[in-house]
Amino acid sequence: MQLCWRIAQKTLSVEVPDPLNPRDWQQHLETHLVPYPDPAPDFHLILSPERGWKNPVTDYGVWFDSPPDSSSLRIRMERHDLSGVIVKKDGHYKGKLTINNDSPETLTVLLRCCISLLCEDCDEMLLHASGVIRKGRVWLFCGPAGSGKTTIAVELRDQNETFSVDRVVLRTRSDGHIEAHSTPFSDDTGIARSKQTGIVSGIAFIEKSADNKILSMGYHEIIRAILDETFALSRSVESQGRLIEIAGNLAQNAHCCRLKFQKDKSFWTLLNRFDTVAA
Amino acid sequence: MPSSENIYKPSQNAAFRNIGGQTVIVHTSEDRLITLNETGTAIWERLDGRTTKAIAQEIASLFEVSEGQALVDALDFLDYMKNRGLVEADPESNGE
Repeated sequence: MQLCWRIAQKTLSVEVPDPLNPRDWQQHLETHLVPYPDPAPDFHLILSPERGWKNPVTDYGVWFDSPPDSSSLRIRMERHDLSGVIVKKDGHYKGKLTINNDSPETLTVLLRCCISLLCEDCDEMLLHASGVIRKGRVWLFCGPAGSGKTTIAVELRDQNETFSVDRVVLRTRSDGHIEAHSTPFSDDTGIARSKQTGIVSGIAFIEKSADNKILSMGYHEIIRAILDETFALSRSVESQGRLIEIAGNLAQNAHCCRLKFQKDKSFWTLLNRFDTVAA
Repeated sequence: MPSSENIYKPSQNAAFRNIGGQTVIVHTSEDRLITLNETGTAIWERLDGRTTKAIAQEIASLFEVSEGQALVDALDFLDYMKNRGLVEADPESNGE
């Protein structure tokens, strides 16, 4: 059985044995995505479930291996619930992974890794951020887990539309503006609409506070903060250089600030004023 | 400590880009991020086989300072960057 999804203009395909019927996976992601059959997906994974198996790894992660005499790239992934190898050749990825469960969380991790690898190929970045659409443009909110990203995008949105809940894909357009693509990751609310695209107006790095306050940020601080929230598997110089470039473009072309906010809608007044002044 | 005849180059672990006239550098293994000011950027852009002395002479001309001061600044800068793994000495050119 093959499931295909289109996320941020990339096609991902997952093949599972017929006896395994991951209805949870389909419901989890197809709440906001339409299946997208594609004979040549950008990323194709074959999954072999082995219930009861646990990967006895003490050092989990992703390793890259590019033999000097080969045009392919070999990527090994190890976690307590999955193990396997993905090969990149001629711009396409194919992999076989053993997994020990069919939980949506495992699938989300896999797809997030796939998207991250594809982003690196296209000079894009996968940013840990929620987003809302305001006046036709996208405002992103970054911060550590529990800081209020999802709360802002879902509960505290002030006549704005939820763009994304947990991850966005960013790319630099030819005119220098940053374009954001929504993703369905971690959106248990099902509120974020699928396949949304918009120009980034600003990024707020958030933390909860007793009162509302907006603080300006210098270039170095903005770039550091963006890179800290970027999910990138490759640590190569080329890949990191591209991420610096996107982060630098954001620092120059978007309104970036630190936002300390109370857990109610009153901070939007401040953000509206900042948006107007910064423009 | 760097000397004026040494040649340095960006480390293989240094990913960098020029953003708005400033050079942003990331050490890919240690996740360290440094932003260079105008002078640092000018020195960094000249780490292409020139000796430290030659770089200092150009910097002196560019920023209208004495060659002696420019050389001190360049040596301090390279020492700082070397200690953070962002530049490395060119062994062939330095007679190693």
